[in-house]
Amino acid sequence: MTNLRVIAGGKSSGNVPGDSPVALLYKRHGSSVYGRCLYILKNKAKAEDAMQDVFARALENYEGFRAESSPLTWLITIATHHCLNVLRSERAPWHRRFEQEEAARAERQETQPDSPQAYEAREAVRKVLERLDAECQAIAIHYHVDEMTLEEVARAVDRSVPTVRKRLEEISQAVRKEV
Amino acid sequence: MTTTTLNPERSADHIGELTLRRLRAGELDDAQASALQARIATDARLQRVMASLEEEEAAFQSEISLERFTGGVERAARSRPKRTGRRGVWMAISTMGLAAAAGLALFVMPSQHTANRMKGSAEILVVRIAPKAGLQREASASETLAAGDALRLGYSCNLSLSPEGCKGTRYLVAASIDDAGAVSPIYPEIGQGIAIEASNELRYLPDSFSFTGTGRERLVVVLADEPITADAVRAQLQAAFSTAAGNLEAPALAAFRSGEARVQTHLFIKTP
Repeated sequence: MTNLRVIAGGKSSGNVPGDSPVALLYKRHGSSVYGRCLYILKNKAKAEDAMQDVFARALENYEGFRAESSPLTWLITIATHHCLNVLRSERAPWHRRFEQEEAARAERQETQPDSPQAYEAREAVRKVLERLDAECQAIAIHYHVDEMTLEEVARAVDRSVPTVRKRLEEISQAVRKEV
Repeated sequence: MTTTTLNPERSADHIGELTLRRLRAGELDDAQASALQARIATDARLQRVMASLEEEEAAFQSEISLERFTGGVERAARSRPKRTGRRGVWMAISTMGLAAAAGLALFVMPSQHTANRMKGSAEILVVRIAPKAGLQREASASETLAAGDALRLGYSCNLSLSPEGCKGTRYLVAASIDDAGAVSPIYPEIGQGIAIEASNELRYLPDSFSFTGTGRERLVVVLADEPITADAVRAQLQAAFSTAAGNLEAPALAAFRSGEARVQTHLFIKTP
C-alpha cells in the first residue's frame, strides 16, 4: 500500500507560516470567545479562566473541531454552556451579585455596536440571565447577542418557531420584572 | 423597555453579529463572503458592528497577549479531566481487534460482564470503572470514585434475543449533572448524538473519561432510535434538576426520561 504524501503549497490561508494551533485560535477566535465569557460572567478574571478552559477543550478535540463547518459557532456554543454552568455552580448570594453588577458596569465597553435599543436589550437580558432556565438562557443569547433570526434560533435549540417566540416573551417578562 | 423593542421581528435575510464574526474568522466561502461584503458596503448598521468587532479584537489582544493566552490554555489543558485514547490502559487488557461501526471505532473487550440490561430491551450498556489502584469493575447504580478513576462506556445488543429490536442505528448521548446542576457533556460535546450500530459483542467507545472535584455527579446515558442532540439532553437534565429541587437521588433524575429513548443512570460519589 502506498503511503499518502502531503505536498506543501496551495491557496494561502492568510496565516503566518508556522502558526501553531494555539496561535491560530488566538487570532481567529480569541476575542469572540472572551467576549462571550465576559458577557455572561461579568468579570474579566473569570472570563479569562473560562476562555482558557474552552480553548483547552478545543485543542483536546482539535481534529474534530477543525472539521466542524463553523468552528467559531462550536467554540461560542461551548463557551456559552460552560459559562452558564459556572454561574450555576457559583450561585452568588444577592449582595455578591450586586457587586458583580457594579463591576460589570465599570468594565462595560463604551461603544454601542448597534442601535441604542439593541444595546439596551443586550444589557437587560444579561441582568436576568441567571434567573432564566437553560432553554431560555440559550435562546436569549442566540437572539439578543448572536442576533440570529427566529428560524436560526429554532434550529439551534431544536424547537419550533412558535416555541421560541413564547420563550422570548417569557424572557421579556423577566426583564420587565427586573426593571 | 417595551416588548417590541426587546423582541424586534427580523427578516429572513437579517445579518446578525455571529455571521459577521464568522466572516472575520474566514469561515464563509468566497461567494458568501463577497455577497456579505457587498451588503456591508451599503449598510451603516453592519459597518458599525464590524467596527466594534475590530475594536473588540484590538482591545482583547492588547489586554491578553498571545504568550499569556498560550500559558493559560496550557495550564487549563493540564488540569482538565483526562480522556485517554487508544493507547491508554484499555489496550493493555483488550484481547480482541478493533471494530468500526458507523464510522466510530468501538473497542471489543473481554465480554464477561454482569451489566444491567437496559429496561425492556435486548440492549446492554456497561459503565466500566478503571480505578487508579485496584481491579476494574462494572459500575452499579451508585458508586464511590476516587480522584483519577477512569470510566468508559460499552454497548451491545443481543441479536438472537431480539433480531428486530437490534436492527438499525442508535444515537448515544452521555452527560453528567452535579450537585449544583451543572451539566457536563461527555459524548458528544455538541451536536447530534454518536451513531452506533448494534452488535452481539460488547464494544466500548474509544475514550475514557473521569470526573474532577468532590461531591456527587449523576451520569446519564441516553440511547435513542432517532437522532438526538447533546443540547436537547442538556435541557432535559436541567429541567429534571429543577423538578428534583436539586436532589440527584430524586425520581426526576434517578429515573430520568428522555422521550422514548432508553436511559441508564449512575450516581457517583466523588472522593478526594
